[in-house]
Amino acid sequence: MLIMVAIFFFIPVVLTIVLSFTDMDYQFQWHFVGFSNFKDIATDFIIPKVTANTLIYTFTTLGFFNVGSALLISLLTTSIPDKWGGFFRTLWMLPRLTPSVVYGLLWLWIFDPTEHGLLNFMRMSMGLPPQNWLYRAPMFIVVVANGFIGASMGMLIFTAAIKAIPIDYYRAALLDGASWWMITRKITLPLIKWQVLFVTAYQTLSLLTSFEYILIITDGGPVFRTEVWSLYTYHMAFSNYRFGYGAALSVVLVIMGIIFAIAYLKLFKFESLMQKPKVEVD
Amino acid sequence: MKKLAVLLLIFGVIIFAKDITITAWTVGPDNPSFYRFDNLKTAADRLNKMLEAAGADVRVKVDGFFDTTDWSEFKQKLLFGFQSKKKFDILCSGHDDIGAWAEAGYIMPLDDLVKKYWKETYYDIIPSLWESVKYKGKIYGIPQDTEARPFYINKQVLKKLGWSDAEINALPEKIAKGEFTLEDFVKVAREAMDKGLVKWGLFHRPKKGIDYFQVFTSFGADFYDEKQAKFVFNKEQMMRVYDFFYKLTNVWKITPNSMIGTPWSSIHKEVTSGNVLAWMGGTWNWAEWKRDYGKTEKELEDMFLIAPFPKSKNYGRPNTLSHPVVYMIPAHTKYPELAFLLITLATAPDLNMRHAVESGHLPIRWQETVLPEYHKDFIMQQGTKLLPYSGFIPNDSKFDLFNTIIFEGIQWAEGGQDAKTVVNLVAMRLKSQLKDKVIIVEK
Repeated sequence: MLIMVAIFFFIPVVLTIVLSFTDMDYQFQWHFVGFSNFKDIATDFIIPKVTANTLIYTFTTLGFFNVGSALLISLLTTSIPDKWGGFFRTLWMLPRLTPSVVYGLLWLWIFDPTEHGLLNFMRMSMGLPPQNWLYRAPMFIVVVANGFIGASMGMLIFTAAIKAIPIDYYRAALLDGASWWMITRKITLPLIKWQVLFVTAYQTLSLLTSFEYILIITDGGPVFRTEVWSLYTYHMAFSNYRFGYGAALSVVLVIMGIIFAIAYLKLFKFESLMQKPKVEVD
Repeated sequence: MKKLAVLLLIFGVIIFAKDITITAWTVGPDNPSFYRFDNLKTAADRLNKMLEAAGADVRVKVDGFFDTTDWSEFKQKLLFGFQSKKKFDILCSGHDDIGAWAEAGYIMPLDDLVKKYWKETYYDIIPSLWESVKYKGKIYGIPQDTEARPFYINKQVLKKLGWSDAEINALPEKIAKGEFTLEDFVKVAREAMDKGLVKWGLFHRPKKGIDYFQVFTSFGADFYDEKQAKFVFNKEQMMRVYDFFYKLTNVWKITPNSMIGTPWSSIHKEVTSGNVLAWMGGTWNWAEWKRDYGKTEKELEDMFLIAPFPKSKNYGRPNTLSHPVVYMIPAHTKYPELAFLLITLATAPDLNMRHAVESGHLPIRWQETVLPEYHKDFIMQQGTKLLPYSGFIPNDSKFDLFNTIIFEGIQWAEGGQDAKTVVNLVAMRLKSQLKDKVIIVEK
């Protein structure tokens, strides 16, 4: 196990850190340049835009989909007969089952700015002119495209957590005349707080580093409007072949991830969550 | 006893015949350029016939692939292939990769091998093409094809605007002489849009690429200092260029502001459906339109005029750009001589011509221009007429990075950022990324 951790985690991390102090390019030479890459990041005037995009993309997707929608779907589908609940949850799993490239190209086709795109085809059949969707609202499109996939993971975890809550709590609340909202607020949500923390922290880190759908749908454009930190790192390393600079950007991203993780632990009062559960499960 | 010896010899040849596999990594990315790979296979077939006739116990097999995804993905594949010393013996890519790959020692110089086959094959290559395959005075590639980037103008739209046949037919010549300028074109495009004859006036490629450098030449903007081997960014000259891109989408509105990022297929559908007055394309589009977009030769000839890209009123010159695709040999190959021989055989006039005809590219050898196919092919003849206006981009190891940043500026300008701001942003970015490899000229 330790060897696996060393090979797949420790060594890559060390290599990335060492690489960030070089100016390695397409010639793959280890020329050490000290903190030069980090100084370049500090003076790179695209960075503020990229940082803002990253925060908007991460927290909008997280809030509206990966945690927000996931929680809502779980609460709603566990409140209806299990047969229908299962059906709706399966529907939400469909994007997850689609290969990334196919899924990305599907969105591209939907928002194609010419009359050949699905939305514009529908508009034109109603006599309306075509719209440049990807120009007008690129961030909205990448958030929605990511969110439709991202919601399914939280949905599964929250659903499992809700189903693990002893049914007696709900029966007692119903006998006391509690409404659905009251039950959700006073029983369900407090008892799945640990799972909410896990999904929030995990998905934040995941969104900070994910860019494949953005790459396919907008490639960071138009004009850096959807260029997030991880995509910028990819562009620097694999389009411009500035591997050293790309590694330095990765190191900064890891630090950002650690800061967010610590903030979540404080926000959700991690220590109290780790105490012995008040609910007996068996 | 004698018979037995002969039988043993034949048996021995059959049993011990050695197969050598030459692996070729080739690219379109346009589908019709598949002969870049298939010509190597045909060359191996021809070589095997010779080997068989000579009784040699060696046979050559070509494997590998023809990539139709994307230039950047293909180049990534090559770069990691070089680094991990993957087994490939021939590669083809744009001539502009020579600078970077030769500098890194990934590809081998071919001067001695070219000399070896000079009298049989290479004396006949169109001389200007050799310039595109040299880096620091040495030859690193063998031209596989070349092309021109025509300015396709929809003549049916001009006709609807009231132009006479004589005026329409005289237009390419007027553009070539600088009598019809970019500013004149913008007026015509706007008029065609205002009259509802087309949806858009001008389409250009939707991704990073070298086509945009034609606009630089049209505005007289220098971008490379050969003597110092450094890039040049002249703020005043580039202001004109970025102002043109800004006005295209924001003032004249003859190009959609979503042009960059529009899928290629949508662009080709719009251009070939007659919804756009002009397209900054390449000769290979002709082959794509016939193969992938259902157009016939006659329909295309009836639809398009072919001209150089116009100059601006006060600066530059009419121009086009050639981007020869070349065969190269990786430095780590075990079979450099054999790989080169296959490239030489694949450079036969008949094989190169079938590639040119199928893919809409131009010949690389004089002998091809006397073949009947050359005289029958419209785009080949029209494209060849553009070659006197042609230039190449520099073979510099940092060209791709320079191009990336220049392209970011085009995106900013088309996105609504004024030219002055764009020029300053691009200059800052060039300086921070290319450092002393770029000369920023303030005035």
